[in-house]
Amino acid sequence: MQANNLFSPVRFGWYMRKHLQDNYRLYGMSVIVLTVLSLALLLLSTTDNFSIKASGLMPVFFIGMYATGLIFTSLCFAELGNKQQGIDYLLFPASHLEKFISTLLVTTVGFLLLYHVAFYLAYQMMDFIIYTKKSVHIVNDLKEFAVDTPWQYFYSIWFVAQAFMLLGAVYFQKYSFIKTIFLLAVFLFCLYLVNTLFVLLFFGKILDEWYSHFPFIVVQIQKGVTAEGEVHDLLIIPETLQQIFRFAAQYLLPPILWTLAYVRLRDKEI
Amino acid sequence: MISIQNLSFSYRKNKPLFENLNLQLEAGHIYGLLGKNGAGKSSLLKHIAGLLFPNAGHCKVLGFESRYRQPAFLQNIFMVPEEFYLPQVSIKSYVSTYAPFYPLFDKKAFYNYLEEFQIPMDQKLTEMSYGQKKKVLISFALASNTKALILDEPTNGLDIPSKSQFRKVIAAAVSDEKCIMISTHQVRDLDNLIDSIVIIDNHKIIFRQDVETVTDRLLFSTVTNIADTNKVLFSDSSIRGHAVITPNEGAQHSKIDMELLFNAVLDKPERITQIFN
Repeated sequence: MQANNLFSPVRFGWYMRKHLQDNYRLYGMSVIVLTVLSLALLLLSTTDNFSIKASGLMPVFFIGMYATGLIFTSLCFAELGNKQQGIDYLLFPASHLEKFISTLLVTTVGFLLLYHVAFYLAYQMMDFIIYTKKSVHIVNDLKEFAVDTPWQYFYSIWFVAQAFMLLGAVYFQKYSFIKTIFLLAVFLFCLYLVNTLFVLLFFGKILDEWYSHFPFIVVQIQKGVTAEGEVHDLLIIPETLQQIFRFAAQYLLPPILWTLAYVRLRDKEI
Repeated sequence: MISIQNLSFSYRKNKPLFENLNLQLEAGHIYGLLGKNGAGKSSLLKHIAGLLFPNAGHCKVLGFESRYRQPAFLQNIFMVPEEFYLPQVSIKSYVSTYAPFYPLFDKKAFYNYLEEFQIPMDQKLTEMSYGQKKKVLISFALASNTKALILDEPTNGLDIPSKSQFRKVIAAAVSDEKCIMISTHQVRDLDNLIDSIVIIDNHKIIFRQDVETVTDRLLFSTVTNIADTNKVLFSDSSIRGHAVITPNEGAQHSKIDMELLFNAVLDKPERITQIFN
């Protein structure tokens, strides 16, 4: 029977099983390391003078999620940098899409799941330590935190950063994390410079300062001079356009970057 | 089975490795790919396996363009690279996770090959030596029953008894449906094993003949005095005398000396190929 050359659910299941069997030790150890690291950071970030609230631990939670998640993603194609492992990976009889989706799932769903488990364990341990020392529990104010803080954006931005990191991981097998961050910074800086050119072209003399703009969103201009001094105005793009941009950044940018990474993976040579 | 047409490839600009290389390999044969260091043996095998992409031309295996590495292609080709990777699992786990991807995998044959190579079944891959791991991989490659089997320097790292075991299992594994290609620079390891010789040099395939045709046309002998021998195409002197290649005008039978043939083809390609045209 002719094999499905794009995607076969059965073969994908086998491939995931193979991936987990090859890496379960690594993932198991990662949970332990993440738990210990999170606990250490939580203990270091709190002091004895204040009552400890769960919301106060959230910066550590998100910083940890970004740092470890992005480093983990940057290493996900490291095997392609190793000749032996790279040959094994590329010649394994699964489609590029199956291989890519398994990596994508492991670095998004798999990582987030393990990270949340590890952080929850660290949280419970910390609660136990505090209770042993002070006979009080950590105050769980996460409901208020969820209402007051746009926490969803932290996840959305994480997915965008993860997608950039995944693309970088396919391109660079060595020092992928550093190279990707560097190139992303260069790209954003160039984007800012291009936007500066257009802003100077469109607004010229009425532009407040050459740098007083945020690409594609807002420009600060001078409206005139009164007795009190200069009058400035902020020109912001319409709300609908802002929503379109937000939607594109949240829901279109990661899939586009993932697609580019997939295309690059298909063209990989060793 | 394997069709390479006008393949051109270079790692660097203006430094071509292959230029309009053509090669057809059929099922039912064991091909020996010979060449000097850096001639491009491994690169050619990588093109066949789809690990490298041609700058121009085509490389097809069973009608599949290798570079696309489609599952239907990958489950019909197995490559044992010179430097290989095996995961840190037991043999049993390795088979249970890898074998389902090869529809024609024969578990019984796999364990028979391991037995032939004297590999303990209960030993973990991590606890094995390089040579033992290689034998596990060769066993798996043979048991996968892929139509194309590519072995890059398979005898490297094998001890002397293992080399003869290797020849034995490969000879037993060949069938009318399989095409086996072995690249090596240790030509003596392939004695009595390969039935076709492919020599690559100077960006091209410069020699491709069946062993039978070679022994029909050329006579391999050892003489004490080279001056007594007529029409010597190539000779190599040693303490035992002079190994010589002469045209086989009397239809005599001789055993092929692959090392001598290889050196002769590289040294005097025109004279040797003239005999086969």
